[in-house]
Amino acid sequence: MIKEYETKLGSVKIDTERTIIFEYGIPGFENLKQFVLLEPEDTYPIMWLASLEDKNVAFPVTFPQLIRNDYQFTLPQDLTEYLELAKPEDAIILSILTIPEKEDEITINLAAPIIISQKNRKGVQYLIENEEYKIRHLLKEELERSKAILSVQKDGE
Amino acid sequence: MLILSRKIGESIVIQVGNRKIKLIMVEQDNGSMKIGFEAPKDIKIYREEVYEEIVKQNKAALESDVKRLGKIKTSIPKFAGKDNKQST
Repeated sequence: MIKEYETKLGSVKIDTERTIIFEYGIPGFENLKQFVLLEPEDTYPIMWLASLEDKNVAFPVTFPQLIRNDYQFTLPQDLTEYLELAKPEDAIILSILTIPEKEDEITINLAAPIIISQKNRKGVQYLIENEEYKIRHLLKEELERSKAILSVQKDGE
Repeated sequence: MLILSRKIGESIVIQVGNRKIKLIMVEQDNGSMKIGFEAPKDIKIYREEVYEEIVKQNKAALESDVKRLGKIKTSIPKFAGKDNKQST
């Protein structure tokens, strides 16, 4: 069913099947349960995890592997069961960005990614227990790091 | 604030409705306590400062304006399709 919602990015028509349910909320926004992933072409690969219940709430998100190309973690079994993830492709992994006025200060949260199940449309913000991943990484540094890894791999060929 | 004294190996049970959370005193070392938790799987347990930092970052993210991405946006690689990898 197509329904119209007011979001931070304006009024959007959304197939209710695309609704993502954050049953346990998102830290700081526990009262909001229904979200949708908006993928406007003019901001892609930055997408927006927008609340369908509070039009002021939309988190800018992107695929963490675009920023840190060797990003990986293991989900605990209770979470893969909750999200009904039979294979890795069943999950959409996103990281929240913070984009302040200064471009050099843009950060990405690699410690607590958003995990969305394509199987049951449930979502969680999961905290990875890995000291390598912090809540604030400078986007600029991460992009440079990934670029350096890629160039080393190329040289090795 | 309720203050309880517990020895290593002893526990505290917190009951919320018909659900129980058990805290077990595992080890004490130089003023630092190791505590084990047994709780229903949907109860999330965080170190307070880490949880507060996630909240803070989430709130700060709402002030984002994608127009400020400037040059950085063009340096974010885009791959074809919406290919998401996750290790399990």
